[in-house]
Amino acid sequence: MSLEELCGLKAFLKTTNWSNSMRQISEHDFQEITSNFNNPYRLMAPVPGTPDLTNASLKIDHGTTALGFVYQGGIVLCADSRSSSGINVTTQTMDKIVPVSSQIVGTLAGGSADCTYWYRVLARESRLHELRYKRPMSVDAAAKMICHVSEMHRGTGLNMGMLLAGYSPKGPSLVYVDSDGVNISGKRFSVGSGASNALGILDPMYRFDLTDEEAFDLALQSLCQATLCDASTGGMVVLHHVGPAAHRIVRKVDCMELHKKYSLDARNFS
Amino acid sequence: MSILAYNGGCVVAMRGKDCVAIATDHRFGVQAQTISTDFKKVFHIAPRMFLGLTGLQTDILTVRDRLMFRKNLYETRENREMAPKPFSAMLSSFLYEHRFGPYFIEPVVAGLDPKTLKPFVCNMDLIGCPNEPDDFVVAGTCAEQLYGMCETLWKPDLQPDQLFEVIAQSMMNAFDRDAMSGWGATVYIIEKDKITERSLKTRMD
Repeated sequence: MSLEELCGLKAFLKTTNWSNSMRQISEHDFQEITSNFNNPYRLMAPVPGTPDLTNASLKIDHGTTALGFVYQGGIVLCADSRSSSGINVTTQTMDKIVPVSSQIVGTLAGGSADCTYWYRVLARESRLHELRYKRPMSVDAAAKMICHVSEMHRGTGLNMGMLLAGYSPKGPSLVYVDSDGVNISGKRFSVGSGASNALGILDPMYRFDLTDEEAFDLALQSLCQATLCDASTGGMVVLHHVGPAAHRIVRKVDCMELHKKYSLDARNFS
Repeated sequence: MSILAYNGGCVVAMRGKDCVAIATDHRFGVQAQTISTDFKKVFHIAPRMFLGLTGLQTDILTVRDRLMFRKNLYETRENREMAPKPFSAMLSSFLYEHRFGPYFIEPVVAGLDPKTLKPFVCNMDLIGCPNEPDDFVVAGTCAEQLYGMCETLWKPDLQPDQLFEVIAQSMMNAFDRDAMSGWGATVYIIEKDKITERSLKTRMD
């Protein structure tokens, strides 16, 4: 019982409108309160009368551009680092490309909270998978897991778009998965509010047989275009390369350096 | 999103010693999509007076044109240059004419009185409530950030070069925290014998 005292469990119970003349706190009650400690898929149900979060979506951190493509030398992932809440820039230094396991890297777009939570769950699942089956989780399996989560929470305002990249013995794989339950495997994708701007550069210039340097340059230039045209994209541009053996950060550069290099706005500042 | 924040952008004006400064960003966008980076929201409307308009771009252009018409009419009738103070009064009543279907703009007026050369800054809400402080005025999507920066950096009796530094720093640091403003800026310093226009290189994201 001293643990309960320490955690302030009594105070918590009082605030939850439960009858104060409560019976002894049972194991079941305890699990109710710590709902997602043991099972991360179990989130608290909304209290009746809670306003729909989808209407508050502008208040939630979101907005990004991330892109990824497969080429002869592996997979390139590239993302900006701005996080904004409505029109307010919350931070310019957010890591949007995160390693899920030793084999899988992913980008996050959409609601920051949704993405970080489910990435954490995904990291846990993939580690458990490795321990259970003595081999790493495949990218497709990871994508399927996120897809299931999306289906479980359909219509609740869950908002995420993810690119998962990794290598399996069969070769490189790049998968796009989002909160609508879309799950597509392909050669090149762009996600987020600035995606169409990035694709404007990426689509016409992409070839499978790009050299490493050409591929990196193309990714940076596409993202640079997105930082210029999309208000919720900006800050640092981070470029990851996923190879057969390992993934690494190739470059992390302020987008202003890129603007100088590609002189996108030479008209104004010549 | 508010219609006032549909196109983004911001304007700030400050008083100095025998001078005023007004600054604008260069962005014209449609919500998050940046369309152009050379849209200045500040207009030179009299030898020593500037009008800055933030808000909905279509209304910025309309209000500018209608005000120019009224100002020209005034100057033709009275046969003298219009001073900032009567101009603001005219702007205020013009906006209140549209009390129940307003133009979605927030105006800023900055200038020197043609006779006394006294610095003058003024801003209004979209239905014409005038505010004429003796320090600075702000408008636009990053108004809160601009208030913070201006409160910190501004002090009385700044010389023109100091005033430039203050207004430029306020502007740049404010709109770097705002997704809807930025993409370059221009500062105008109005003194009794000259007007200096300076373009600022800023972050383009």
